[in-house]
Amino acid sequence: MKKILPGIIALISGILILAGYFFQDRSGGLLVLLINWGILLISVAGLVGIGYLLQMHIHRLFQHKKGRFFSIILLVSFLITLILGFLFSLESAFFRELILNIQIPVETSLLALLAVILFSSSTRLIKTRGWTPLSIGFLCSAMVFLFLDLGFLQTGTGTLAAELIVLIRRLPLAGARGILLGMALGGLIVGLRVLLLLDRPFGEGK
Amino acid sequence: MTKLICPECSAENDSSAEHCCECGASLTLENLIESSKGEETDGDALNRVSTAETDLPGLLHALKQDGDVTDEHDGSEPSPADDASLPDSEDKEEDRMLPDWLNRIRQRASEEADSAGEIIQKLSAAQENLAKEKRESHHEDFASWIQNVRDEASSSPSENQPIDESEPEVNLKKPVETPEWLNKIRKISGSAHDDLKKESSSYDLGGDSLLQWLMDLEDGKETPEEIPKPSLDDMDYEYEGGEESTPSEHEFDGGVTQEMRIVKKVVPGLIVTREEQAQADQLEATIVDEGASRPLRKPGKRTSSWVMRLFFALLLIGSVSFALFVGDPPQLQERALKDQNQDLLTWASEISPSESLLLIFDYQAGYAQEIMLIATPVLESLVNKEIKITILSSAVTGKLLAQRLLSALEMDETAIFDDLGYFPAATYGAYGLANRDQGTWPLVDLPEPAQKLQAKGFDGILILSDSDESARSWVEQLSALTPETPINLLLTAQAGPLLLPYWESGQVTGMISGISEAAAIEAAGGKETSLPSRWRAHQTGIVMLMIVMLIGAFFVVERTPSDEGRKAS
Repeated sequence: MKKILPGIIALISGILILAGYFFQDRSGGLLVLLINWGILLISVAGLVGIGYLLQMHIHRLFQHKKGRFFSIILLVSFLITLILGFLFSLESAFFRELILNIQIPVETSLLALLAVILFSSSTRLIKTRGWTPLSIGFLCSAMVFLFLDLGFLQTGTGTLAAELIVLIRRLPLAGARGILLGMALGGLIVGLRVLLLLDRPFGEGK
Repeated sequence: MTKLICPECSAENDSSAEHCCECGASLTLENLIESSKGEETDGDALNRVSTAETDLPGLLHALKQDGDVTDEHDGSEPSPADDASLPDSEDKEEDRMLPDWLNRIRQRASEEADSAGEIIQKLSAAQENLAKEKRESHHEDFASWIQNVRDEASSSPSENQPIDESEPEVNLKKPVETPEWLNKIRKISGSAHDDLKKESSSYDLGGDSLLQWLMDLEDGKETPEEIPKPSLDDMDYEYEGGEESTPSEHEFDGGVTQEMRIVKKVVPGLIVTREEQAQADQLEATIVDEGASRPLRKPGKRTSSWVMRLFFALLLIGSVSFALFVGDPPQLQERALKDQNQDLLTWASEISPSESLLLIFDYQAGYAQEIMLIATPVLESLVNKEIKITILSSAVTGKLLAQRLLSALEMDETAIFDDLGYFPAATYGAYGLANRDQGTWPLVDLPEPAQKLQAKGFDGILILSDSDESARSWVEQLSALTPETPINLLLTAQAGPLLLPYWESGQVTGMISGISEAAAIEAAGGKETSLPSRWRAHQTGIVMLMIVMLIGAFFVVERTPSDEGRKAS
C-alpha cells in the first residue's frame, strides 16, 4: 500500500491535468485547484529544505565534524540576511547594496569558474582521447567559433562571405536545438512512463 | 516302503512301529534326532554360511569356516593365526564320547545308502547341496577378488616369488588383466596400497594374507586406515571421461564395521551458456589484468602539471587585467548592425513620451554586469522620454537588480516607475498569466503583481533575461495576454541564439544579445562608455583561451589510441 498509493495519486493527477488541456471548459476549476495545491506544496517544500539545511549544519557544528568552519559561515550569513530582511525593506539602498555586493561577485566568480572548467574539460578531452576525428572536429569548431565571436572578421552586407558567416554561426544553434528537442522528447517519455506507473520517482524503487 | 533303523540294535522296523521289534527300544522322534546330533557339525556350519550372507563380518566367519574345510580337504598345514585344527580334535574327542551304537550306525550309514530314514536322508542331502553351493559361490566370488588383489600386491618382482609359493591351488589362476577400478584405487591412495603390500609381506601366510588381514580386522587386531578422498582433479578427470560413477570412487568410512562401500558419486551436470562463458572469461581476464605489472608513473609529472596550470592561470588573469585597466579605452570599430538589433533600436526611437512601458527583469545576479552593458544604451534612450515604466521581476533578486540598474542610468528625475514586485513565472508555468482574463482556465489566485498587470495598458514590453527558457515563457504568455503589444528582448550571449527564431517568426519585435552586439550598437551611437575597455578585455581573454587550447592540444597530448593499443599488445 505504501508503494501503490503514491503511484495511484500520481496517475490520477497526471490524467486529470492531461485531460484539462483537451476539456478546458469542464475541468478548469479542478485544474486550478490542483495547481494551487502544487504551488502550496512547493512552498512548503522550500521551507522544509531550509530547515533541513540548517539542521544539517547545526548538527555538523555541534558534532565537531569536518567542515564546520563553513557551517559557521553559512549559519551566520543566514541569520544576518534573515534579520536584515525583517528590519529593512527591499527599497532600502543599504540592504540592496549589502545583498548585491555579495551575491554578484559570488555568482560571477562561479560563472568564471564554469568557463575555466569547460575549457579545461575540452583540453582534457583531447588529452585523453588523443587525435581522433571527434577531438579534431571539436578543436577546429571551437577555434572557428571563438574567432568569429572576436569580431575581427568583417564583411560587407549582402555579400557571399556575410551569408557564409551567418550560416556558420547557425550551426551551434542547430546543435542546441537538437539537444532541446531530445530533452523535450525525453521529458514526454518520462511523463508517459510515470503516468503508466512504469517509473516511480516519488516512491521507493520500481 | 519306509523303514526305521533302531538306534540300539540297528534292526529294521516298520515306519509305524514305536518300539524295536528286536530289542524293544523306543523309536520315537526324539530318540532319532538325538541319535543324529553327531551330524550337526556340518549343518551348523552351513547355517552360519547361509545367515552370513547379509553382512561382511558374518561372511568372514563363514570364510573362516570354509578355509578350515578347505584346509582339511587339501591337507595343507593350518595357519598359526586361526584355529582350524580345533574341529578335528573335537571330532576325535566326540567319537570317544559317543556310544558304540552310534558309531555303528554311522559306520553302517556310510556303507549302506538307505541305512538312514528317508526324511533324514533328504534333509541331509539338501543341507549338503546347499552348503556346497554356498561354498562354491563364496569361493568363486571372494576367491577371485582376493586373487586379484593378491596378484596386484605381488605384482612387484621382489615380492612375487614368496607369495606364489604359498598360494593355494584356487589362487593359481592368473587374472587376465588388472581391473581399472583397482588401478584408480592405487592412484587415489598410494599409501594404502603400500600398507597393503607391507601387511601382506609381514604376515606372509601362504596366499591367505589378505584374508587373514580381513579376519584380523574383524577380530580387532588391526584398525582400518582411512584412504584419502579423491581430489578435485581426479573427479574432473572422471567427469571428462564421460563416466558419472566408476568403481574407483570408493570411500572407506573407517568406521567400526570395516565395510568397504562402493559409493557411486553422481556429478551434477553443469550447463554453461555462451553469455555466462563470456562473462567468466571476462572475469578471468580482469583478474589477470589486475595482477599484471604496470609501469610506474613518474612522480614529477603531477608537479609539472600543477606548475603549468598555475602559469597559464596567471597568464590569463594578467593579460585580461592588462587589457582592462591599462591604456586608454580603444575606439570601437564601426560595423553593420544586425537586423534584430536594428529593429529594437527602431522601436525604442519610435516610442512616444506619453506611452507606457513594461520592463521585466528576469536574470540572475551573476549576469548583472553583462545585462547592464547591453541594456544601458537602450534604457537611457527610453527613460529620458518621460514615459511611464512598470517594473515586474520574475527572478528572486530581480527587484534589487532593477533598482540597481535603473539607479545607474543617466536620467532625469521626471521618470515614473511603477514596481509591481515579484511574480514567480516559472512556478506558475504556462497559461498562468495568459489565461488570466479571457481563458477558460483562469488562475483566480494569481499573485498581486500578476493581477495588477493590465492587459492592454502597455505600448511596449522589454524583457531582460539570461535564460532562453524563462524568456520563452514570458514571450508565450505575454503574446497570448497582449497580442498587439510589441515585445523586445535584451539577452545574454548564451540565451540570444536560441531565441532568435522568435524574432524571425515575428513574435518578438527586436532583440540584442551579448557584449559583441552591444559593442556594435555603441560604436554606431558614438557615445563613450566603459564598454570598449571591457570589450577589449573580452577579446583578450578569448585569444588567450584559444592559445592555451592549441598549446594543450599539440604539446600536452600524451598518448593516442594507437599508442594505447600498442602498449596493450
